Amino acid sequence: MVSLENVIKGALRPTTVYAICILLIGIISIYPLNLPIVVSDQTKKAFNLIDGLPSGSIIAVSNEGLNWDQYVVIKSVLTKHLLSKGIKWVDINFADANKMVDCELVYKKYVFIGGAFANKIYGEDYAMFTFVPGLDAAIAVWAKDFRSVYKVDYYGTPTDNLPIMKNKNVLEDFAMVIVITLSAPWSIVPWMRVEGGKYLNFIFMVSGVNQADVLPFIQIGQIQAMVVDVRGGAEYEKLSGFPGLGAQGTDSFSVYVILIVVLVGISNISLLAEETSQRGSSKSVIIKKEVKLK
Amino acid sequence: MSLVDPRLTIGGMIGVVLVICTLSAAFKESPFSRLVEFVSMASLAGAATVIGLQNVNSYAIQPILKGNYITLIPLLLGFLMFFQYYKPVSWATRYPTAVIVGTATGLGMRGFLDSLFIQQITGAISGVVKQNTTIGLINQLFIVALIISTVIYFIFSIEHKVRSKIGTIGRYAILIAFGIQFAGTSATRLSQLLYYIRYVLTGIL
Repeated sequence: MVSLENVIKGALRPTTVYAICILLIGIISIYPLNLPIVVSDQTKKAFNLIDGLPSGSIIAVSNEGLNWDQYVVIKSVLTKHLLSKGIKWVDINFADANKMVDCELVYKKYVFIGGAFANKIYGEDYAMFTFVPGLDAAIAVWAKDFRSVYKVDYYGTPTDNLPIMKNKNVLEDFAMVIVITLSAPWSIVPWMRVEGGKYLNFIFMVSGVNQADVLPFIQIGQIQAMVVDVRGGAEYEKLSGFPGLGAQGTDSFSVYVILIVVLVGISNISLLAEETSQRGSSKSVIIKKEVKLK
Repeated sequence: MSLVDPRLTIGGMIGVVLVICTLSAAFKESPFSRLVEFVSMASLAGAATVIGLQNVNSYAIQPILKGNYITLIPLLLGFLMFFQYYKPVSWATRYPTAVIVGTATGLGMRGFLDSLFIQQITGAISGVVKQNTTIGLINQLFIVALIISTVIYFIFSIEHKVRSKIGTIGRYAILIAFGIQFAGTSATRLSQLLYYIRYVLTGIL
C-alpha cells in the first residue's frame, strides 16, 4: 500500500520540482494569463515625480548595475517615458564598467527601434558618458565639476560640444538624479554623502535584493522613491503606457510564486505526517520503515 | 515574442546553448555545466583585464604623454602593488595600500555624520510628529520602538535582565528584516530564472 508520505516525497524530488517549474513557465510564456498588475505606492510615486518634471528638464541617470534581465526592463521603460515627456537626460556610470554597453544595446534594440522617437537627437535630447572608476571619489568630484570627470562623452565628443551640457556643470544643475543600481547599500551611501547630504532629489531603481536597504533612506526623505526589480518595471510600464518585457514576465512570476507557496505547504504537510506517524509508532509496536527517496 | 531574437544571430544561439547548459546544473553536474562556469569566469576575468588596462591608459598614460606628469604618482603607486608577489620587496605594497585606505577613509568620513547618522536618527524621531493619520502615527511609533529595541539588543554593557526583555523585541525585528531581505533575494533570483527560461523558449520555438 502506497502511503501519503511516500507519495509526497516522490513528488518533491528535486528533479520533479524542476521539471514542473520549467514546464509551467514554458506553458505560461506561450499562453499568457494576462493577470492584473497591481502598482505599488513606491513605483507610483517614482512615476509621478518623473512625470511631473517640466518638459526640457535635464536629469542625470546613473547606470551603476542591475542584471541584464532587470536592467533591460527598467531602462527601456524609463527611457521611453523620458522621451515621451520631452525630458532630457545624461547617462553616467561610476560602478559597472560594462553597463554602458548594455545601455547602448537597450537604446538600439528596445527604444529607438522601428523609427520610434526618431525626432530625438543624440547630444541635444540625451547623451552618454562612459564608466569612471572610483565610485565615492568619482561621484564627489563629479558633483562639484562635471567636466573634470567627463571631458569627452561615450563616443569621444568633447563635453563642451554637446548642446545638452550647456550651463550644466554641478549636481544642482540637474533636476533629478536617477540611480539604477544593484549593489546597495555601498552604492547608495556615496550618493547620500554627496554635497553633505543636501541634495535630496534621488530616485533609486534597484534589485529586489536591495529593496530593504533603500527603505530607511526613503523613510526619512533622503531618497524620494524607488522602483524595484522587474516587478517595478512592469508596474512602471503599466503607468507609462509602454508595455514591454516587464509585463510579459509577471504572469509566469506570479504563477511561480504560487507554486512555491504550494510546495512549501506540501512539504510542511509531509513533515507533519512523518512526525505524527513516528509518534504513533513509538506508542505501540515499532514498525521498521524503509523510506526510499529515489 | 522574441526577446533579442536569438534565432537571427549566431551569438544568440550560442547564448541559448550556454543557458541550457547552466540550467542542467540544477539536475546534475556535468561537463557542460562546468564548461559554462569556466567560460563565464574566463570572460569576466578577460573583460576586467581589458577595462583595467583601458583605465590605466586613459587616466595615467595619456595624461603623461600630454605633459601632465602628476599622474606618474598614481601610476607608480599602482605598479608598487605588484611587488607583493615577491617576498623580499613585498613591504613596498604598504605605501599604495596606505594611500588607498587613507583616501577611502577620508571620503567615507565626508558627510558621514550628517547624512548617515544625524539625518537618519532625526528622520526616524521627527517622523512621529509629521504623521497626519492615526494609523501613520501608530506605524511610526512602532518603527521607533523597534529601532530602540534593536539598538538595545547590541548594547552589551547593560545588565542582562533588563536587556533580555527589551532586546528580545529587537531580535525579532532583526529576524523580520532578514526575512524581508531573503524574500527580496528570492524574488530577484526567481525573475532572473524566468527571464532565461523565456529566452531559451523564444529562441527555440
